[in-house]
Amino acid sequence: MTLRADVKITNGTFDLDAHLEIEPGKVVAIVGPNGAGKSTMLSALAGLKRLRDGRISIDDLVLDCPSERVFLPPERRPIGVVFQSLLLFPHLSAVDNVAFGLRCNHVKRLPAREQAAEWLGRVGLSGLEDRKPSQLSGGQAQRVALARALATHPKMLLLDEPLSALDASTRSEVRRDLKNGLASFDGVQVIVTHDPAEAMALADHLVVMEDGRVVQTGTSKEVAARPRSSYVATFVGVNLFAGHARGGRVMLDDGGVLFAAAAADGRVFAKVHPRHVTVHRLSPDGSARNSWRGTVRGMDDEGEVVRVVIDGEQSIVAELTWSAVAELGLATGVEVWASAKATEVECYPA
Amino acid sequence: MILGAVAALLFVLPLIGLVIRVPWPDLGTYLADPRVLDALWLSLVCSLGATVVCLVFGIPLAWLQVRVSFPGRGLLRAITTLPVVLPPVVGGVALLLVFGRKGFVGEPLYNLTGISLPFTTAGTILAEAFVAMPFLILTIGGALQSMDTRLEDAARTLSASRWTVFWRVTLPTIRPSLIAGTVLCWARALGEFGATITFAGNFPGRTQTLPLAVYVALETDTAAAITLSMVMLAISLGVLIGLRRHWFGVQ
Amino acid sequence: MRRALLRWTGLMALVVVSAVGASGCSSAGAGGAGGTKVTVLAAASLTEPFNAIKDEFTKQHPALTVEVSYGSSSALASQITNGAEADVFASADQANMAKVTGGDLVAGAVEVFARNTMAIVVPTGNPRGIRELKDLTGAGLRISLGAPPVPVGKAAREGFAKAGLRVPAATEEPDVKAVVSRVALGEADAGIAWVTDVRATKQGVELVEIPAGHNVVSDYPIVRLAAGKNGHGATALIEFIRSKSGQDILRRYGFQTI
Repeated sequence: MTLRADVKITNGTFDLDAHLEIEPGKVVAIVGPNGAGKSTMLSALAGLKRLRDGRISIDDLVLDCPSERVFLPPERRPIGVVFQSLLLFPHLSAVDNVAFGLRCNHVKRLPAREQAAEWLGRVGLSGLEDRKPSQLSGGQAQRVALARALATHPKMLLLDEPLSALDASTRSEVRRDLKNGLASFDGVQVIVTHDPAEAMALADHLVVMEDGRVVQTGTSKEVAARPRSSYVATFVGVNLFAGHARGGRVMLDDGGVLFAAAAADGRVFAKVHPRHVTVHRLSPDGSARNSWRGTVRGMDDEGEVVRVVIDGEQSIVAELTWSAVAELGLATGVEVWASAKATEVECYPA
Repeated sequence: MILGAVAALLFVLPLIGLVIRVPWPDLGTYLADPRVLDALWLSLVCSLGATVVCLVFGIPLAWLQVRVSFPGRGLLRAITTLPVVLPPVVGGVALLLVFGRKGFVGEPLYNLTGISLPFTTAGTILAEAFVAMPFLILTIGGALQSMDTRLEDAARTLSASRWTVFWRVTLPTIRPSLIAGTVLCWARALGEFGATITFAGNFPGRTQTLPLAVYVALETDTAAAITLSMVMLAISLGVLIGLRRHWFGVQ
Repeated sequence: MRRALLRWTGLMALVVVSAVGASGCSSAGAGGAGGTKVTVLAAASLTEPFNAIKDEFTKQHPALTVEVSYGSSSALASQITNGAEADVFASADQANMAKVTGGDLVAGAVEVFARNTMAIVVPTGNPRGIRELKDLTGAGLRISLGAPPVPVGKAAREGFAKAGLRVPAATEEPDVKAVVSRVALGEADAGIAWVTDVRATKQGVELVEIPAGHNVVSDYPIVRLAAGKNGHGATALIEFIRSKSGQDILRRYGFQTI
C-alpha cells in the first residue's frame, strides 16, 4: 500500500506540480503557507479535483491518470477524509454519521450501527452515540469525524487542517488523541496543515510546499535542522539565506555577501542561528566577518531571551538576553549593527 | 410601525369582511351540499396531486438549474419563474395551445391514445402544477444555492453515490426550505383558479375545484360563495399555521 | 378566448371606474343640473351594439357623453346594490334585474328593449355535422355548456327539457363567452350559446339555429337608476335605445327587437 502521486493541476494562474511517495503506516504532513497548493493536493488525492496531467495510484490501483483516461470519483476511492471544518452531517446522530460510510458500502442497517458504535467506543465516545453534532464539543466532533473516516477501513486517510477548528485550550489534548488514533491505522496517512508545529507533532515525515512546488521532504528533525524555505526557517526560528558559494564566500541571491567558514562551492543555503548573532550600537571591529547595519523592527519576548528583528540590507533575527537588551538600550527604531562569525554560518547544498 | 399596521390591516380587513358575511345559521346546509363536498374533495385531491407532481419534477429541475451549468441556464431559470408573474388565465391559454385537443402536443397525443387533458381531473392537476411549481423551484433552488456543498463532498468520500448524496445529505440539509416550498406550492395549487378554469374547464366532481365553485356561485348566490371561501380559508389557514410552527421550529 | 380575456379586463375596469366615478361625480354634479355624462352599466353581451349605440346617440346629442362599463349582469347587479353611482342598468336577464328593482335603487319602470335566442355553436365547417339539439347526445362528443346558475346554462337546460333530451356536458363554463371560446379553440365539439355571442365571435365558429319550439328567449331589460346624477341623459338614452335607430343597431348584432 504505497501512494504514488504525481500531481499536475493548473487553476487560473496557479500551477501545482508536485510529486509524493508515501509508505503506509507513516504519517506524512504536507505543510506550507496559505496558497502553497496543499488543499488542491488533498482535493486531488480525494478525487474532488481532477488532474491536468500526472498520475495518482495506491499500489496497482490507479486513482487518476489523464493520459490513461482513468479517473475514479471520490465515492470509488478507498479513502477516508477528515475535513477542515469536520463536515459532520448535522441531521444525523454521532453513530449515524459514523455508520454513513458503512451503509454506503452496503453494510446492513443494524450491523452498520453496531460497528459505528464500536468505532465511537474506540475513540472514547461511548454513551454519546445519539448526540447530534451540534450537541458535541469541538474535540468530540473531531473524534467522530476521525471515526467516520476510519470506519470504512480506507487504504488512505486524508486529514485537512485537522485541529484548526478547535480552540487553543483543547487543541493539545485533541492532538494527543489524534496521534494515538493515527498510530493504530496502518494505511497511508496524509495530513495537510499550515501549522508546522502541528505537522511536526503529528507526522513522522514532512513534505514542505511553497508556490505549488515541493521544496523539501524529510523527517521533522531533518527539516528543522536544514530548512530549505523561508517558511520553515521562520518557523524553526533561524536566519536562512540562499546564494552561490565560492571559496568561503556566499554571493546572496538578493545581493550582499556572506562569509562562511566551511562552504562547499555551488548553490547553497546558509543558516545562522539567532543566538550566534551579536548586536552592537556602533560599527563592530572585532573578529566577526559578517556585519549588517539595520534598524530594530520588533522584539519578541521568548521568556529567557528576546528575539530582536533587525531590518536592513538583510533581515536578521538575533537572540539576546534581557540584560543585553537593557545595556544596549534597544527599542524599536534604534539603529544597530548585527554581526556573526563565519564559523557560525552553516552551509548546505541547495 | 404604523405602515406595518396598515399593511396588516390590508390582510386582516378582507378576512373580517368575509367572516361577518358568512351565513352562520345556514352553514351546515351549505356544507352538506354534495356539490360543495365534491368541490372540496376535488380541491384536496388536485392540490395534493399537483404538489406531488411538483416535488417529483420540480426538485430535479431546481437541482439542475443550480448545480449543473449549461448554456441557456439563466433563460431557463427565467422561464420557469414566469408562471409567478404571468396572469394565470394566460398560462391556461398557453397550456391549451400545447396540450389542448388542437395543441401541438395534445393533438398527436389525442390521435394516438385518445387521451385529452382538458376537461379531466388530470388536466386540473397539470394546470395547478404549472402555476404552483415555480414556488417550489424558487424556494428549493435558493436553498441548494446557499447550502454548504462541502457536506456533499464529505458524503462522496464516504462512498456515497450521487443518488445517495442527494437523498441522505442534500435533501435533509435543505429540509426547512423543502417543507416551506412544498407548503407554498400546495397553497398556490389549492387556490389556483385562472389557469385551471381556462385549461381544464369547470365540471362538478371532475374539474370544479373550490375556487371555481366559488366563482360560479358568485353569479347567483353570494352567501354560498362566501361560505365556500370560508371553507378554503379555514383549511389553508389551519395548514399554514400548523406547518409554519413546524418549519420555524426547524430553523 | 380573447373575448373572455376582454371580459376579465372589463370586470377590473368596472371596479376602477366605479371607484373613480364615486369620487368624480360630486364635482361634475356641481356644474349644473344633470351634467353631461351618462354612465351605463351593461351586460357583457351588449358590448358591440352598445358601443355602436353610444356613437350614434352622442352624434344626435352632442352635449352628452356616454360611458359604458360592461360586465356580467350578476356582477353589475351586485355593484349597484353595493352603491355604485350609475345612471342606467341594462341586464341580460330578468333575474339579475330583479335584484335591483326591489328597493329604491331604480327610478322609473323596467322595460324590455331586446331579446336574445339560443343557438348551437359549432366549429367553422361543422365537422361533426350537427343539425339539431338531438345530435348533441351523440357518443364521444364534448359539449360546452354554461354552468346551471349562469343564464345561458339555465336556458340550455330548459331547451333540452323542452326537447326531451339529456345532454351531458364536458364543461360548465362560468359565462357564455367561455362557452363559445371552447368551441373556437377546438376543445369542445359544440356548445349552446346566445346567438349574439356566436355572431360576435370573429373566428372559428358558426351557428346552427334551434327551432322556436325548443328555443329559450332571454329578455334584456333596461332601467334608470336612482343613484344616477344625470336623469335627463339617462331617459334620453333609454328612449334612443327603444327608438327605431336603436333597435336597428341591436338587430344588426343578432338581437331580436321588440
